Amino acid sequence: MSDTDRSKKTYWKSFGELGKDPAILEQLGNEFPPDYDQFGGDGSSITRRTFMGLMAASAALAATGCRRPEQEIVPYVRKPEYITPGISNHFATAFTLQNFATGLLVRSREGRPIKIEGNDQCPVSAGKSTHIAQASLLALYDPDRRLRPTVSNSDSTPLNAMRRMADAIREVSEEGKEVRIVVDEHASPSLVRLYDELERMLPNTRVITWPAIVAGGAAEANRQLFDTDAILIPDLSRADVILGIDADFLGTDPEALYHIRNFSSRRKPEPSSPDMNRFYAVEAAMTMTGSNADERIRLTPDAFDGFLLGLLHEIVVVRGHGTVDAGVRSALVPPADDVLPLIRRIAGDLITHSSVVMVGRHLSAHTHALGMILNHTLGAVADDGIIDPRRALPYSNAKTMAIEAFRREMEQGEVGAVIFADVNPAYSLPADSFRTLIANVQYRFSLSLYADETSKFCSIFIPVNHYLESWGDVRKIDGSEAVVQPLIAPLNEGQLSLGDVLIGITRAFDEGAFRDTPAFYDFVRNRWREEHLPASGRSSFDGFWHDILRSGHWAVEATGRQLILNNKAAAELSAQAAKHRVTVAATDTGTAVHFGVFPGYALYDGRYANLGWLMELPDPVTKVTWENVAALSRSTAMLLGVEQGDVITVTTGAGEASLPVLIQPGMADNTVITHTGFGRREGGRVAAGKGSNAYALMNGPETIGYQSATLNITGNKVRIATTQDHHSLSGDGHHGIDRSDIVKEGTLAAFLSNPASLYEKDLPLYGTEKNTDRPISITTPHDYSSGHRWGMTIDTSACVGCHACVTACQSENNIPVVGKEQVLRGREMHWIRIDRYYSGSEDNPDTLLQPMLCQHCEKAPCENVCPVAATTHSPEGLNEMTYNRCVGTRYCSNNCPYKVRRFNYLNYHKEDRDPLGMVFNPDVTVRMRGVMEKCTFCVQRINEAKHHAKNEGRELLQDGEVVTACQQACPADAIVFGNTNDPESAVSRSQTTERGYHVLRELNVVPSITYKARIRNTNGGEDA
Amino acid sequence: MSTVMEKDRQRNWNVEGGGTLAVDSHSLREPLVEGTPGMKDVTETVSRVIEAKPTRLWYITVTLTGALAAWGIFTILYTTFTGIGVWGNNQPVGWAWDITNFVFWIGIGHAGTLISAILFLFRQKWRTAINRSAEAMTIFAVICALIFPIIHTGRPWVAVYWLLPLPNQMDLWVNFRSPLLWDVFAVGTYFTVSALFWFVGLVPDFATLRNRAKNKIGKWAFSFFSMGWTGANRHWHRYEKAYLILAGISTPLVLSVHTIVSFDFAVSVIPGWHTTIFPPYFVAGAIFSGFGMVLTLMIIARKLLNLEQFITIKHIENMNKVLMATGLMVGYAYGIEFFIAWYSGNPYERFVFINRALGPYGWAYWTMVTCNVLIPQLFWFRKIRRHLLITWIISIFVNIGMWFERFVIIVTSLHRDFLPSSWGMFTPTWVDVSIFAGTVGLFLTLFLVFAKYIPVLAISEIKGILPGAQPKHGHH
Repeated sequence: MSDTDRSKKTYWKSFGELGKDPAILEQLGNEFPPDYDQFGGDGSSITRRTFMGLMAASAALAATGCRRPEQEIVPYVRKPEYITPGISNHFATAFTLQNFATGLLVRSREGRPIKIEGNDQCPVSAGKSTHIAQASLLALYDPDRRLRPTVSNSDSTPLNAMRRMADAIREVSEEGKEVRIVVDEHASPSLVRLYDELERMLPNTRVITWPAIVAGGAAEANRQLFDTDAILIPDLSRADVILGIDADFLGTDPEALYHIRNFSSRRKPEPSSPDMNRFYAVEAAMTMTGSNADERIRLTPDAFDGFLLGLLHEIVVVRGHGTVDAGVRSALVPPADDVLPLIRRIAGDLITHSSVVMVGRHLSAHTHALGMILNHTLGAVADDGIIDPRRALPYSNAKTMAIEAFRREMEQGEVGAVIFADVNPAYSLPADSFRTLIANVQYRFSLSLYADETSKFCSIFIPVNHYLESWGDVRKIDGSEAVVQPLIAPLNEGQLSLGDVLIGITRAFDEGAFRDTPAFYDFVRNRWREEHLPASGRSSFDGFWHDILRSGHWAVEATGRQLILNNKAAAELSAQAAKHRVTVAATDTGTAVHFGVFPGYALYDGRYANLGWLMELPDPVTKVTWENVAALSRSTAMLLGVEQGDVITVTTGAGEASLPVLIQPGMADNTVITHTGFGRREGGRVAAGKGSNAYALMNGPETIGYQSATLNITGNKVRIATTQDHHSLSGDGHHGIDRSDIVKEGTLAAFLSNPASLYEKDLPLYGTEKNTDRPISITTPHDYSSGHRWGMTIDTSACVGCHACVTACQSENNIPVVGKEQVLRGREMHWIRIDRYYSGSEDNPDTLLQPMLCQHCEKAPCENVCPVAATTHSPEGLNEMTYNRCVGTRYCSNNCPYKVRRFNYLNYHKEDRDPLGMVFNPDVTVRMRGVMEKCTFCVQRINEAKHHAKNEGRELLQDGEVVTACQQACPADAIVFGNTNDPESAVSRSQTTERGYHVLRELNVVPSITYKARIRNTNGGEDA
Repeated sequence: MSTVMEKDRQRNWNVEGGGTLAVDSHSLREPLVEGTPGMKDVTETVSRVIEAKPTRLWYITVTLTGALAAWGIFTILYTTFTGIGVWGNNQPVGWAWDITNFVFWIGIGHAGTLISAILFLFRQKWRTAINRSAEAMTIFAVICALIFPIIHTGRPWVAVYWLLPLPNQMDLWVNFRSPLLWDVFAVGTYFTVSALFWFVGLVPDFATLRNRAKNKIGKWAFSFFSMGWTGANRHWHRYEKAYLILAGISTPLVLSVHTIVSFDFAVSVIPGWHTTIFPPYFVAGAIFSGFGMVLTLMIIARKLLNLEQFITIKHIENMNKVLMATGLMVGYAYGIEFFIAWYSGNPYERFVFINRALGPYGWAYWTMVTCNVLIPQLFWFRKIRRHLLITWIISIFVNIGMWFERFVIIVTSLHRDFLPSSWGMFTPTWVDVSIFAGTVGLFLTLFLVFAKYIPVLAISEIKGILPGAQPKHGHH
């Protein structure tokens, strides 16, 4: 630090001088800068506030003797515009997961955001949201977020921290060393621009994008084949036949929300509208996507290339469909005899329909290339086709080269300072590898939401704002843009957003930098003014900006160059694929397997691992919570000599991890997988110490995918916290009793020819009068002749099991997180769960999903057994739960045939620390221990809508006025809710389906929820 | 005091001195009282227990059982202050040891009522030697039972009065459709009537003790509880009428209480619970378990309190016969449940019963069958019926078996019901075990205190069945 700097640091005093600093500018609105607050730098000193508090208390004591000091509360003198206590406001913003962005509409009450929904104006989300977007709200109020920056492990101020970072940059650059800013993948055009500016303004500086999850195969293949370095996003609503090659496009891919919407829109056949897509899934691991397949083909990871080459051979060579370059042709190999009939069947289907092939993003470039060549041959790649060049993940260019280059720079000691901005490589790299990398870097800084693993290795850590506290913007896959607007001032007063900090560092380095845009807010506005205002045809930017903030959406004419296949590259890549051999090398010490590492479904890359809502969200396939497991098939388990819960050590070239074994039906033999996101050591009390870090197994630069690994048995055994075991509806454990009437399913052909075929296994309705088929009842039926009668339909054919409803319900209804111990005891609290059943062989079963929640039975068995009448029937058909009256006998839960009631065995909210309490929906009671709870059909939303209707003088609500939280989130639109008294309502129309059934109809409890049977569009022809 | 003694003597004819009347030679039946004790001997034997200083053995035992009870109370408080989560109960097993223990203790109580009421009405004189202690057992068992419906609730501090139909300003009423509410009434009535019945029977004996009491406290207490009993003819007349009426009231209770307890299950929709055979099956099971417990305690008590004369092998044998009969009824119920599960064609029902026998809780089911059906078959042999040690061991098996019966019904039915997605398992925690052990401790403590301070035999009734006490009627 030079002398001038030091003097500058010590001697500023006027606001004018301070005003030049962005951090202080940010704080100008506050009466006191944050460092003025009670947490004095040295803990012992009495701060101004403490002093005032003590003085006030003494004065009060002196004045009043032993009475409590009086504390006044004062209502709004001038009520802020828009905020009315008890009335929600909705603000549009956007959520980004890696580089996939969706528009959000966040519900805010009394100034605090309480619920995240999709923005229905957003063409990508269409009002839907994912479990991760829903749960990201919890991160805002996470008590484990650090309040202040640390410099060399002691508390500091953002200003001081940024100045020191600028000093370091100056020092390093003067030494001729490099400065690197490592950032996460994102979808923000403004950040791209900011990063460019940083590279320009700071000496020797480059910005490296290095996300936790690196998968470059698709972008690399597209770059070589089409000269388009990006991940293209197909529109599945246009596809009649979809072939997935180990692709989890409905599950762990960041853009899954978009795919689910389009995929499920074609999964709701009725005799009147029999249209339905067909999905073949070829995969090694059992994925959520594969469980939605009409036909699932189980292959080991080394067989994918051969399968695609064989399929291309069948289509191009045997059937002469489409043309490929001779170079490609020569690489094709006929399929092996065992898969030949299968390939013939699929090939026939693909060429006769509008089809698309999806390749798993963790697969290598040559596999992606084969998929793209196939798509090209099938005509899927075209403007306005299924794969449209204008629809791509923004900034999804292959990054592995840049990452590798950066690694080399670091290893060779060329880098003098690194700023880890919102990335956590200390976690997402094998530990040794990270230590080696940073060993030669003198200055390491971390900017992050949480104090994470990486910040432990950094001398300066600055906590940055949550996206609900920050300004920003996003570009979506269709090219449209949206503004990220904060819902709330930073909870930690004076805390800055990532953009602000980066600008602040630059300004600390050079006062003249960002003179016009000292805050990232100005920077974002500036970009919008320059890039979008002219196209808008508006004269005033403020009006334009205001409208963008209001709608949360700005359509941009997407551009994309036409995709022309580079035949030379295609030939090269095909040859590469044909040559490629995956070997799983056995060693003397352990059994060798294909070991796959995939993004965790709930935790994804681990960034949100501290969110209990996600930690406790069951994995859609394994139903495991709170940890990751090694999933493998039963025959592999037998080969290894392990059972469920045995802990094994997985060793790869990169490192090792200990994981408990979970026997998962549908897994390819000799293939074992696990998930990322677990095994955090820092970053919060929820995240730390749950599961194992799967990144430690990946040599990089790719952090997901398959590799060879050896397994060793440790001899330890643990219990895995699953919310559901691998239950089928018949077979083992059922003593020969078949329950397949619980879930109705059928093939499309059988359903269309005879819809009644779905109900062949129905049990007789007990207590039925022979003549009338009307169930006998000794009680008088409820009268719904006027008013509302609430009902719901759930389409199990459309439902893909994404669990967005579960998190949405948890957020809406203040449902507690109970922890692993309680899940092990079977006490998870989710009001809606996704029941998963398997049928067929254990090797490759069919999966059946059935979202299960309170059925609001007409003759509810829970109601008549409650001794204190705490659960009763409402005049609108709801089965209501009166928490205040409940004494907790649990009889209702015992007597519930669906077992959807949840009991507060312990005081689960007791552990909630400030400010976690702010996340609660104020319209829903937070339940204490000893009280039963369950789905209410979001009765608070019904009542809110009724209040509005009453104000408008209406008796009845309009259709769609009440949307339940699960329905609102459901990307598949599988849930319809409404007034069944109104024959024209969506739910009434939905109920008239030929696929409708009541679960456990034979019990005659008359549920209010109608399920729609699962239809599989299987390929009937042997060789179509 | 002497007048009372006089009247006592008068009432009992003039058999002072004892042994003057020979055993009724016409009767082929075994005498109900062994040896030839006189009226005075009866009074002496019973009163001596109360008037003597407690033995060291008594102190040690009562300390142990009291400690167990205190531990139970501690764990109950721990549960109340922490939540039901300290037990093993879960989703889907909402009830487990709590309600198992409740039904178990209620069942234990049944023998007392059966002996005191039904056998009284049927003039089964052999009951007199055991009715007092059996009734005491009933009351203590019901006290233990009553703990569970309260503490098993999530919020016992409100459950304790919200479950009662008390008028309140909120116009909130209990739900009369709920079998749990029926339970409140049934068990409440049962406890009240049993306690009254027991107390009424005790009044003449308290008077006897009052007359003999030497210390102040004893005198005061026995005077208070004997309610001015003088042994006047009018007293005896009213006493016998009252006793008869209470016996009449109690008789339907023997059937109704466990019938209503069984409704908790039978009225539900859960397969394995929703069974019409439950009321008679539960009543038979209750009597079975009650007699098991009576035997367990009585065989020890008669030895320790030197009551072999009055509680004879004949009593033991009679009880063993009841045990075998009710055991067979219970066994029949087990069988018929399986038959109906098959015959009804209901796959859920069928599953539950196969799962009971062959599922993960099969061990509990087979424990139950072994203890309740197979082992009591030994009582076909007269020698075993009259063998004290074997009888005692079998009675322990019956207690275990009947506890498991309730466990099997409750837990195995709940753990796998309709939707396989919500199936689960139940594992008890140390708190579950402690609370049950605590109620055992409480039960034994109460019984020990009773055995020491209250006549364990109905003095006046025993006198009525002494050999030759009723010469005109011969021996019944």
